[in-house]
Amino acid sequence: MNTNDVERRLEALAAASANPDLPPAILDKLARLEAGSVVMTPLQVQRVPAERRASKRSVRGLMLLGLAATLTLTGGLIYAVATQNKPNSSPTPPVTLGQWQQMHTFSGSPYDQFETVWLSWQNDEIVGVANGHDKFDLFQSCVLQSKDGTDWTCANLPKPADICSTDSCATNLEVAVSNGAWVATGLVQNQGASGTALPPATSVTWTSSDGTTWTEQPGQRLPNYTGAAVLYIYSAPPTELLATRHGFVRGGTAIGTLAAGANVLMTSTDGVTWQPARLSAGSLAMSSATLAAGPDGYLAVGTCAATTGSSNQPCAAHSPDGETWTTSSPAAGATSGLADRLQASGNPAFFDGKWVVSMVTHMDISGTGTMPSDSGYYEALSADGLNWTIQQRSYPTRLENAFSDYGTYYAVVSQQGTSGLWAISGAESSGTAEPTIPYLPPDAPHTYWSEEGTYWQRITAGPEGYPLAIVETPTQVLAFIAAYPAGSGPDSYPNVIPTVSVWAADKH
Amino acid sequence: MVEAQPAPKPATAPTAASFSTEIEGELAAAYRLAGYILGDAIEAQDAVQEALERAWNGWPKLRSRDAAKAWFARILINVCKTKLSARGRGSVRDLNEDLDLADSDDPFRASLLRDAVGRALSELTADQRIVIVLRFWGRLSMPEIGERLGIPEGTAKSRQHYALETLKRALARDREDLR
Repeated sequence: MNTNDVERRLEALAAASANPDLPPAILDKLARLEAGSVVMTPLQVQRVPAERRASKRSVRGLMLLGLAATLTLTGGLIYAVATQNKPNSSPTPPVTLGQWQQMHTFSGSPYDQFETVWLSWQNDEIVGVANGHDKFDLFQSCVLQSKDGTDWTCANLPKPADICSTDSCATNLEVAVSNGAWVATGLVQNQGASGTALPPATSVTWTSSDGTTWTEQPGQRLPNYTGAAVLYIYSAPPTELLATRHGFVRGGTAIGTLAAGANVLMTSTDGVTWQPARLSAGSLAMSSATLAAGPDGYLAVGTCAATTGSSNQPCAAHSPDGETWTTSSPAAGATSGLADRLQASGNPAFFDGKWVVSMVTHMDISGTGTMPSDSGYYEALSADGLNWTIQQRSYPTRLENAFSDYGTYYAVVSQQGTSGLWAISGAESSGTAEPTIPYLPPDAPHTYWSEEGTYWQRITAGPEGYPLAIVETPTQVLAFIAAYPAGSGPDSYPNVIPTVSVWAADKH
Repeated sequence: MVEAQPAPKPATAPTAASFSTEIEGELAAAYRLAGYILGDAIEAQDAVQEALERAWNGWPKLRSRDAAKAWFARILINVCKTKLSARGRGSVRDLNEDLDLADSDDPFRASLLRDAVGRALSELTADQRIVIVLRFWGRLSMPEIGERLGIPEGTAKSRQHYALETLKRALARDREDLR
């Protein structure tokens, strides 16, 4: 079956689908509106302190999830998980943040194509990538570098001309530095003729000695990776390339069934030659993986090529040295019904002596239309990356977009830094396509902190706009913020190009 | 001497009286679209009522009555997207679990459950599902979908492409399961 067959089946199904009468309640609603039961002027909403407003919204959101409670603390809110076994702790951030200050504004090509940004602290500098696309869906990506957050370079990578018929076709770039060697991986996709389906992407590797001049390694191309869809999914891009003590490890998401001996988890000592990760006895190859480093090694989380239960059930691979990997199931502690619906979400992390794997239930929109009572966010915790316990977790409503495809507000979360996790919630992610509906005045942006992702504390105000990325450096927390003209927003991209600025708050 | 130019024709300003004139005729199609986006008649009814209320409140701000229908459709889609989002992440599920629900009283759900491709819609993200429903149930072209959603046509095409790929994989899996 190909996608044309799918289209034909959809057409047939739509043609045969029911066309029910309009329920009288809808016409009744219209009549009541016209009769004046709703005043036809913009609602006047009395401004209340931002903290109270946010509190109400958060409580409402958490009650809907049916799994969380809120605790009010001095200086902000703590969002805590009300589970049977986990005590409600109230950690405080080890540093305080100063006011956010604008450090730099990008202008001109290629800085006019920043749709997603990924930032990290590596090599004693800020290293990141910017991914974007133009009106013709031509991808524009570059490798960002800055020592101080003020002066930036963004190096373009040479296009693989035999794959790309266009000037720009690389996306989902990642970059890592190990022992002075730079490696970037990205997905390259020939856009094909207008109106035709996009072909599968090829994962491509570039190397560099300075992060500025790059060379593609044509011998390391990996076909059949998922492509540009990633651009539209998460505010926080997955980490699929990581420096290890002995070189590099990479993950990704493969399309279809893995060939025998294949593994999306691959290792390299120099970034030039890659091989499938060496597996300990009984371990499984991974078909998708995101990565994190910790003091006792490395963890990959995604799906394994062959598991019992749901094929999407989370699978983790731990390695003490980045070379030999042992797989386990972070959802193993869940009941079977829940375990089959859990799927890894976002990047793994290590904090406070434990590996943390974020998970979320899927299959929630089932034919019954009823969300199972155990639906929601979970985390698996492990001291050794092999044996897991799971518990429910909760994010502030305003941060939901940083961890899933959903959420009302644009939000980003940092990689685990020396102080924990930092996040910013910014402008609303919907509403740009309609006139302002003043049910509630817009909330101010917020900065959040969490020790390892379970408890979130609202720390201070955040920069205005749509946050793209956030990173902790030894002295600052730094964020990329996109500003759109009034009446437009990320949904307008790339017809409307945002102004992207760098903001920083000093750590004290 | 500069010749006086005729004043530009003002856009037809919306009035309270014009609201039902413009919107009432859209309600049946809106209900159907919401029904197939949400896959649930009760939620669809709720979504249309919420969109009506939002549109009513925003009506005085609408600059041109000519844009009223597309504007109302956008509001409805935003409401539906919010409702889908509130349900949680929709992704892969067991296609067989709904087979015994094909006699559902809900007309939208029953229609979707009639075919595996309808059941597989629940594997799509909210954005993908909206594009698919607008294309096949709303019979809109890709440029029209882009305009309706306020996104570039290329983005709409890309969402459709990945939606179709997801549905293709779901159907292949379904066939494997039935072997």
